[in-house]
Amino acid sequence: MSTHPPEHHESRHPTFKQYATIAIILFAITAVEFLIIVPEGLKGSGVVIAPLVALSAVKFAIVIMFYMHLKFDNRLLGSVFLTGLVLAFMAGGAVLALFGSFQPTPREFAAANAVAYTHLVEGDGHEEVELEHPVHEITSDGGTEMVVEEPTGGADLVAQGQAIFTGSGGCLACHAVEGIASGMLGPDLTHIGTDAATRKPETSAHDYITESIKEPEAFVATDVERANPGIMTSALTSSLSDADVEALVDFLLAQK
Amino acid sequence: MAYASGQLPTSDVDHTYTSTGLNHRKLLMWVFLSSDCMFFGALIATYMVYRGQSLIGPYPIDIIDVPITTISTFVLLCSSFAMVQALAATNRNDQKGIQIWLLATAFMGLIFIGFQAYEFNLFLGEGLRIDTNLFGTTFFTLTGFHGAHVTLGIVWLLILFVMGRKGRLGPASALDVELAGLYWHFVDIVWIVIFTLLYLIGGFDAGPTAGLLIEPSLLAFPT
Repeated sequence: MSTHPPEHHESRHPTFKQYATIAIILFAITAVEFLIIVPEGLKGSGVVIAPLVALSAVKFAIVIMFYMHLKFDNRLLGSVFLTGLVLAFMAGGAVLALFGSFQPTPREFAAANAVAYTHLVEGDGHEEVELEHPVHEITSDGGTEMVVEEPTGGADLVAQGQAIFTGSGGCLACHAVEGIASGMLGPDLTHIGTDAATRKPETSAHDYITESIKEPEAFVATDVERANPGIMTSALTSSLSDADVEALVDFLLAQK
Repeated sequence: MAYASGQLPTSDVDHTYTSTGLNHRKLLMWVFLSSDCMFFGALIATYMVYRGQSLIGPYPIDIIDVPITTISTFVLLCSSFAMVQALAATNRNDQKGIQIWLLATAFMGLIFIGFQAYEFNLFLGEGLRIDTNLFGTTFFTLTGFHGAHVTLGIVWLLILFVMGRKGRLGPASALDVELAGLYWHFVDIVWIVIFTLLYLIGGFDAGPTAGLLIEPSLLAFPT
């Protein structure tokens, strides 16, 4: 029935010992990769890409040549696979080029506009946030300038509230506080510490701000510029813990 | 066409004439793997395009744990070694070896998936969901599809293991094991690429420092 020789080349497959050697080589390469990134990661200086890519390519090649027997099998199988691989590389490269990934522009934009992250799990919102990072401030001519925040000694909660306001809370996206944030969608909060006392009848400034954060829909003050009901909802603030809200309220009350 | 009892049609197919001289199933498997290269290539390229462009956290450096993932990478490499042993056992008709090595491969795959489940869970706890930012979207899509491939591979291996228990695997059906092995090794090499790009290289991508402002025009609402 068969006009071709059998396809199995058991005799040419690697032996147990050779397979074990290959496995050890693969382990060693992975270990080397790990050791390469450890010091870089600790420094936080980014990692050297070239050797990592090269080592991975070696691992990739070893697996397809020996474990997948391409070295011993019919060359057509290898050609079929390499065709897909090369096409994948070309398509991927084209996509990267198309979206300008080889130029720094999009990442510069993100670096200049992104909001820093504070961990949700550890610290549970009670950790002391140090404002040691430079803060960008919008200047009168529309540009930004660096302002180094002085640590506020006695007012830990206020500082923590500010960190949430400008960081994980994301409040600054819509709200302005002179010198700190310049959001233009919601009410200006520069003097909220004074204004809050008279916003809602029979409600203290503290309670009014707390309610406005936790349940923005409950009461919308009248005669306030850019009080746009429906943009800020309790869904937006649901990720804030009670401690976060408390810190935010303290920070806002300090904005006289 | 009749087959001897306990014998799979594979042996017959193996010697069927084909214009390439190659077994169709094996060629088909390589064509599939070739296309899967492009599938993962697209997902990886997407990750690289959006790398470092998230505007809110968590960012990779906040949550990616390289040492933990290095362990699961070792486990997956180990499973590839077990897989080639399963094929070798099949070729020499070592029934006990077939079962042990197939089960070992599937088990290590399960450990890998366990690590991934742990990691996903940890990320969700840290506030990274698939719709949180560009990092979350591209990360979960890529590693999720890889995890799905591994899961499918585990099911495949367990089916082979059951066949092995029934004594239905041997030199005549070596191709059945070999094809599962090709798929399994492919999943392994995809992980080699993902591990390098998303963990070793991309795992230290930091978000911006605290206190930066969002450009207000970014958030312009249509009125």
